[in-house]
Amino acid sequence: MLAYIVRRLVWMVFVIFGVMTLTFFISRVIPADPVAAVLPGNAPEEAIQQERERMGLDKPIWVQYGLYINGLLHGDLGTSIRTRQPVLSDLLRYFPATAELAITALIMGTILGVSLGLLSAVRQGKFLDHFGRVFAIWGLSMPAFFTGLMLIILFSHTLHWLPQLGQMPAYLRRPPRVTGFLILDTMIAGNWSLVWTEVKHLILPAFTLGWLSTASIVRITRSSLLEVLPEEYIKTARMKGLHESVVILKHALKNAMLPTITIIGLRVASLLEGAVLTETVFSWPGLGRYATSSFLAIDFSAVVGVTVFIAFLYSFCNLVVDLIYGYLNPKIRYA
Amino acid sequence: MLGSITWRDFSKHILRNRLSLIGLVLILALLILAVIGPTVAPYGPYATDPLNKLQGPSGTHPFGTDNLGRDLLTRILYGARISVTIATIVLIVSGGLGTMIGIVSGYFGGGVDNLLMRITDLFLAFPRLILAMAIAAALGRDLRNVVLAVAFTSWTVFARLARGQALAVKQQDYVEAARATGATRRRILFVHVLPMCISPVIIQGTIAMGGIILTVAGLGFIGFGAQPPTPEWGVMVSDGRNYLPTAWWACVFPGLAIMFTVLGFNLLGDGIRDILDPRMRRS
Amino acid sequence: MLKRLLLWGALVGLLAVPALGQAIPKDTLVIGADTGIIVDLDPARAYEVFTNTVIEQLYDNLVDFEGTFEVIKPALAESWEASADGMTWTFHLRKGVTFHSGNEVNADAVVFSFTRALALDFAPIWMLDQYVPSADNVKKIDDYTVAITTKVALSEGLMGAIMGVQGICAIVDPSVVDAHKTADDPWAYKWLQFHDAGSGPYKLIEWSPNDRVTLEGFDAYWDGAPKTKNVIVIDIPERAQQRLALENGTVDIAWDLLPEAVDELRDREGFTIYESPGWSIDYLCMNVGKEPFGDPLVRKAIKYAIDYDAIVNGIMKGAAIVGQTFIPVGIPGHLEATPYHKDVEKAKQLLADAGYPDGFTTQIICQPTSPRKDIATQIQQDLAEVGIKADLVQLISAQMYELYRGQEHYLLVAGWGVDYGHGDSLVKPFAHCCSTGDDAPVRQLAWRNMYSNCDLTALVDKTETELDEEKKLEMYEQIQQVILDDGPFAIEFYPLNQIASLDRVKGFVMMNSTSYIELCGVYKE
Repeated sequence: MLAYIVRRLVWMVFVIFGVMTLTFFISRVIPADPVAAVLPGNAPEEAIQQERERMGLDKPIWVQYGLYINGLLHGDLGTSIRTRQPVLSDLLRYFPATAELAITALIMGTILGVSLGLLSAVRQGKFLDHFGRVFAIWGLSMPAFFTGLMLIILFSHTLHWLPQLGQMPAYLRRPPRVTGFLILDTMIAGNWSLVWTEVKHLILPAFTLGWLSTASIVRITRSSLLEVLPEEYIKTARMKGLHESVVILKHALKNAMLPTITIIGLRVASLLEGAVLTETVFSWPGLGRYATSSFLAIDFSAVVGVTVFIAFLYSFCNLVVDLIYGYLNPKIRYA
Repeated sequence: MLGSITWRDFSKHILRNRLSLIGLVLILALLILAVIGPTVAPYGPYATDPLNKLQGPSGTHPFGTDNLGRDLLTRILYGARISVTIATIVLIVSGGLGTMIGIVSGYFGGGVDNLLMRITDLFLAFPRLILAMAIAAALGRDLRNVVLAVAFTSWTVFARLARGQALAVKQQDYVEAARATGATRRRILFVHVLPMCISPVIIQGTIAMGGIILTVAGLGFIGFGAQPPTPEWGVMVSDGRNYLPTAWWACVFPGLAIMFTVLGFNLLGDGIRDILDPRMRRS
Repeated sequence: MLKRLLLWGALVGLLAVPALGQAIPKDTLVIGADTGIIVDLDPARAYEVFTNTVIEQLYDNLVDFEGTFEVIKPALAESWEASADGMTWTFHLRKGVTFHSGNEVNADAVVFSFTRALALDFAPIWMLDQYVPSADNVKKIDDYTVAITTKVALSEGLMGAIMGVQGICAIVDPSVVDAHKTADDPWAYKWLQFHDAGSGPYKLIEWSPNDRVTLEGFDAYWDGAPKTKNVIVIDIPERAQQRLALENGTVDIAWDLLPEAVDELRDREGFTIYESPGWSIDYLCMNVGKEPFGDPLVRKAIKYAIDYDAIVNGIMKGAAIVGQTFIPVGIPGHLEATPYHKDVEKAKQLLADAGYPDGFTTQIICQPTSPRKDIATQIQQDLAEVGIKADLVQLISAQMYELYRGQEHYLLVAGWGVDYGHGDSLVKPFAHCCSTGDDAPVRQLAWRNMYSNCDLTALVDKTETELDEEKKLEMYEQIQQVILDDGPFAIEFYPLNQIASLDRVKGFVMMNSTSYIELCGVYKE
């Protein structure tokens, strides 16, 4: 087992290195001048040249690559042209908001998805089944940005049930930054009514982000349950006189969860992608927004930094999921 | 194991199954619109008329006008053709590329297999949207490059598929026989292995199509899409969203177009998957 | 089963309780804007319009402006006068003014501020150092008197315009810089990127990039404590979201609404719209160095091909003023002349005269955002009508400017923001070019479009040294006329600034340049 983990980690390092090099060169191949984009159109040529030199962008590309690798080994991911901050500090600043969103989306998606999948399987052929399947397939068909906008108009603008954007109301001060995670920081500050408000702010964006995952989870739960329900041991449990809900929850669901967990694991990584679209719509100050701005400005270091960071999270999540799967499924043995 | 689909499978699982049938109908509608759309469209898709911008749905403009006064129904019809074209090209490029890589990998095995599979892993480590953004940014922001960008991020699933097929076919008796009689490797690949891959690739392509269209629309939404005045649906949603909630038609109708198209592919894809999944045959 | 339904029902019910919480308290003003544009709050570095709007609340300059920028009013300087030769201006400082730190604003601070800006030498410095080239030009006479010597004699209007430039001429607290300087950062620019060292009506509590800017009133402000204690600017890049936020009261003021939204809110109860002619020019430019734009007939033909009406009244929906000269309305030197309008016949005739009876093919570049790309699309359409087939290419800023500054474009749709409130800031960019190589002293718009006109350039140089304001403005008009007839710019309009607020917001005074809007007089009922 240990050997497996080590091998995966080593492989991860190689992959990330490859991703980094690929992105580095792709981004510099583009005929673009991000410095000229950061300074207003009016700025004189000399000023642009000066800024370029300040950022080390006038050096030959191999030298820049070497400097970048050197920096990487010291934990320095370069400096963003747009924000003028170290990319690493930018990433750490914006990541918690995305993490909060993604984790909430995942939890919501799992609870909602498993419940609906369960109901769908148990009431197969009836209304709830159709509802569940339609909900799921609809969720897979809606462009996330479209969903977000429609939900805002419905729940915020028309019904006034949920807040429209951002992590917290505009006129309130943020609690002091302890962990970087807003909800945790608010809890630490003891402001419980604000925590509740922040949760409400999380609902629409998390739901939008999670709908795709929810849909997948509903489908896989339904299909794996349908597979398990006709099995012998379920019939046996029923004959023993156990209550139906015990049969389903304790016996069927537990065994059906294995494929579901794999799917959940796969969705974790794709949530990072979905954040790009969702955060723009909801004014959510997270990694997705940072990524979009960096790409649109071809902010070299930020582009490479974001890509490497996301690739790292992706690989790491996949590894964790594989390990969990291996732990839960005794049939798999990682050598 | 993915094989081919018989007519019996088709009629039982797709035509009888209400949801799959709806999917099939939607796709057929899309294809028909893609072909006849431009001929039946009431206006030209590029004729701007800014003084009439953002008019609501009415007799003269059933879907209203967009922010340059262009008829939305017309642009959506033209957009159907664009979406079909995109989808086809992506399928061909990613399917072709993936199949080639997969076949070579599976058939030759050993070091080649290892290397190619590691490269596949590399591309899988890239979140699809981010990679597509990077490629589109690098190649330039026009529709052709966006298509290439999406295709480059979608080939991995076809590679895996083709590799599996190649591995299976490699061990068949008739391949052994062909080798024994001196057939060149190229001949074996083209004549025996490749045909076995086409069907699964097309099937997988249909299943994956929905996701591909969403990715292209997503790229159009954040700004890496077609150049004006091309009426691509994702770009139209992005343009229209500035005018919510009052001039909702500019955003909603293209969004619905995307939705129904993807829905169609998903429903159809589901039906196809049901056929191929032996477990489903039971229920 | 029933239990599950009850659970769901309860959850939904909880949410249905109106979730928007209390209304914004009266002592807090919330503004919704696209703050993504703010890069750096260091006054020596701040350059973008919205960044300067924030700077305006945090810092003071020696002088300030009323309404249109023809009237210069005292700020940190109570009075000023020029020497006989016009090259030295002496400013008498107001006494008893303090920075947010409590330290006094005196001549040392003024000298320090200019020294710092010149030493840091960041991009916006050209506005100052074109006339005040070094720190030696700024001298302390006594504790409350400063003398600034300029390279050439400046008229009062121009001197005022320069001294009022936000950021680069802001007065900075030396004690804050001292407290945060380091060996590699002797002027503390890293600290000032996120913190303030000013004397303005508001203090910076926090700037969270892509999230919000939090300001708090400075009670000891020399012109009186601000009427609203707290100002928060939240980042809402989605225009539709900004509008929704205004409509449901999440924000008091929406800064970046689209003209359609403004039009609709104008007639509705509960909203106030503020408008002013903006400090920018929207134009289509033609690269004289690329065929066939070297021919003035072709350039004129294009100017007659554009449907200005569709652009101003259609695309911009009235949020623009028709204008075809490069000094906008409201800035000293504006020439009121709009000779061009869409005339397909005339355009075709001019093209035929130039030798292109069947038109030609070319390329238009624009940015991928509205309204520029809509304008570009409309122009593409207009040009097609006279036989010019133009390919439309959308490029993000980083790529567009690479091409533009490299003189590589054919046609390009862009806008130019006015740097300071005097025609002087525009004549050089639009008209000064006698050589198209890298040796040219001014490499701005005329140079980028390779429009080399040495006679005109000589005239531009003359305006710099002209002390008589009247004569100077006359020369500006002449220059604009030449560019109007012969130049490589088809100027379409000056955008209107439009800001929308809820009716409960009072005391908001609109300025021609939104960066000069003062929030200290705003209050809520």
